[in-house]
Amino acid sequence: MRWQANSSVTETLIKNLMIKILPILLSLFLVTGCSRYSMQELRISLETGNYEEAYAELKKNAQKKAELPLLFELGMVAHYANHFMDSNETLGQAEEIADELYTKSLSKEALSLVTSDLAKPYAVKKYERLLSYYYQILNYYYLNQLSGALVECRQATNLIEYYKGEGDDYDFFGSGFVAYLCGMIFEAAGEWNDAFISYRQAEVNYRNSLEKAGVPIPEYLGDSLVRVARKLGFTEEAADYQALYGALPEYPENYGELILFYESGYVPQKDKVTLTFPILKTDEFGEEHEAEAKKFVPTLLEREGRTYPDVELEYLLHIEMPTYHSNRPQLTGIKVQVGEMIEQGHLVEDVEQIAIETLNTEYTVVLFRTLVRALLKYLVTREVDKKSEVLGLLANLVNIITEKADTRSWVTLPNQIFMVRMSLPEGTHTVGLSFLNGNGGIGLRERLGDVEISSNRITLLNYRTYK
Amino acid sequence: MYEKQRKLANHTVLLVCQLLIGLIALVGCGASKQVTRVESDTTIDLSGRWNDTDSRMVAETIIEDCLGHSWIIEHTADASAKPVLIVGGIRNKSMEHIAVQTFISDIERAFINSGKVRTVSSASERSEIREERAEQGEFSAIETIKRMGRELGADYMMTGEINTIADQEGGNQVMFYQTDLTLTNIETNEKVWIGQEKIKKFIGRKKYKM
Repeated sequence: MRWQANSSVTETLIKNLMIKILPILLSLFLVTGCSRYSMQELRISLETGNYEEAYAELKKNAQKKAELPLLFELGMVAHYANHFMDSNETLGQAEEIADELYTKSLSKEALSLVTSDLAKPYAVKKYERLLSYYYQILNYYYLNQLSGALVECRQATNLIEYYKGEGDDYDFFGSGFVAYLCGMIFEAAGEWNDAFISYRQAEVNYRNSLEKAGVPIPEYLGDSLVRVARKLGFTEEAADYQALYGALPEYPENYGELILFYESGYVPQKDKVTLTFPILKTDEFGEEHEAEAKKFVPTLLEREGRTYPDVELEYLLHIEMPTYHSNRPQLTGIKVQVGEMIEQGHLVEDVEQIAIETLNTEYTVVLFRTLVRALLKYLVTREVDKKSEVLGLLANLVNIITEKADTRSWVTLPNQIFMVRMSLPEGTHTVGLSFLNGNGGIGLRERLGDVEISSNRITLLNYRTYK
Repeated sequence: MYEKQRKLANHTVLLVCQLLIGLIALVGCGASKQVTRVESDTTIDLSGRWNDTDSRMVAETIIEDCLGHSWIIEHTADASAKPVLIVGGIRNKSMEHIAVQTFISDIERAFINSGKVRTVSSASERSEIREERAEQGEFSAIETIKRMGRELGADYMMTGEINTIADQEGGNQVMFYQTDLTLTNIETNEKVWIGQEKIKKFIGRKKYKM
């Protein structure tokens, strides 16, 4: 009798200790992992123009463990810190890792079946890979290595072709913008035929993604198509494009072109939402086989958020799912002034929209997988609980703690990208930038001095605001 | 008794936690690197991309073809001297960052080592040498100064480009590299030789690994 009393006390103590210690430890591992860096601190450094500090901090973390999406963040911050070569090396390394992800690790897949999707390497998004080319192309351009930028363009073009070949459900997110940028680089290098193909692909890609991405074909693209078709002597195509997009503006011989990309704000960071699915005492499923659990998922989906009387309830299954909340910046447009000339920016990439749409596309599959996993974990817990209350409690705790939403993504990407193209006379110019807020008023002014324009050449620039 | 059991329980939980920490630290953060020296002409394909072996093999094969062609016999018969060559621009039109300068060096090496032709410095190298010669005129001892206007003019220039075609399906990729080189008579613009070397690589990725 005395022993039973003491045994019960021990069990209570173990329970209490488990409740207090294990959640803290497991949470610590899951939240921090091996590569810890504070996005909050990073954002503060970026917003205050402290790129070097942000770069040094991220680099320190990446040296501990080079993984995605950290390498994307590092590559982009290196770009803003003017470490263009380092940025290219890092983004190139990120590309290699993304390629290697085709081979799935069975051990990590198996671990993810009993823990969460966080156990798997980050499943890089197609639009993220394409946007990494945007920064690599700019890096090579700023390094005055047009041949390097051309190589990146060929790789990006090849990647888009690969995505298109994967299946009819390719969303074309980001591919219009990257193909358009590649067209500009090919054109700058005098590779007229490649430029023409890229511009044509950009037109098609923008059209194919319009419904979900919401970005129409930039009107400058029509000019590019007419201009390059003429250079190639494709008179029929030039006439067709001119009929579609209008006549090409004529400029004197000693004019060059300023192409400015304005990147505004931040893409939203993935958040998590907890969903609750009631399991009833009358439910019979998955006692023996995983297949039965899978069959039960549709029934469970219909019950999401519903309430049942306590007497009918056996268990409330909680899962975490990733979600996005819009994070539109205050500044959502740009006007560029050079002397008397004023040009308004055109939206060429809506990163927020494509991030949200990408998650929407994946959502059903992720939800199904998460529910099956949670169900199986619950079944194991129930079995264990029958044998030992302490172990059952431990298993339940582990389930709750490990069932985390995969909220990883490339979070320092801009929210939107605008483009301004201006034909300017050869020489050095001061460029006035007026950033527009939601109602079209000017929210911020900046000035870029000493912008060099060369005759019959393009000058590329990119500018970022975080407001 | 109660106190003993409480201590035992505490120790057990702490031990489990320590083991857990150790395991995660060992598995999660462990990294290993091994470095082994190998012969510089050893063929090692890691990524499947253009590498030092491709550069060397293409240069050797294509130059062997170039030097075995009739133009060299005709030139020697006409001029009674070895032809003088310059390796000009070789454009990388591939989708990889190829170290073109290494490829040019491999070509120059193959030419010089053959002993059948004479090779002169490229435009970028020449300007450095000319600068040095000009400085010699100002700073070097008179008996050691090298004279101006004694450069060897090239008879032929080699130019070319490297292209790639990629085909990919799932995890499998075929990379096709084509190197085209042209030898042109500098005086007459006549193309005296065109060479081509192709490399095809299959890069297979497994769907799963452990």
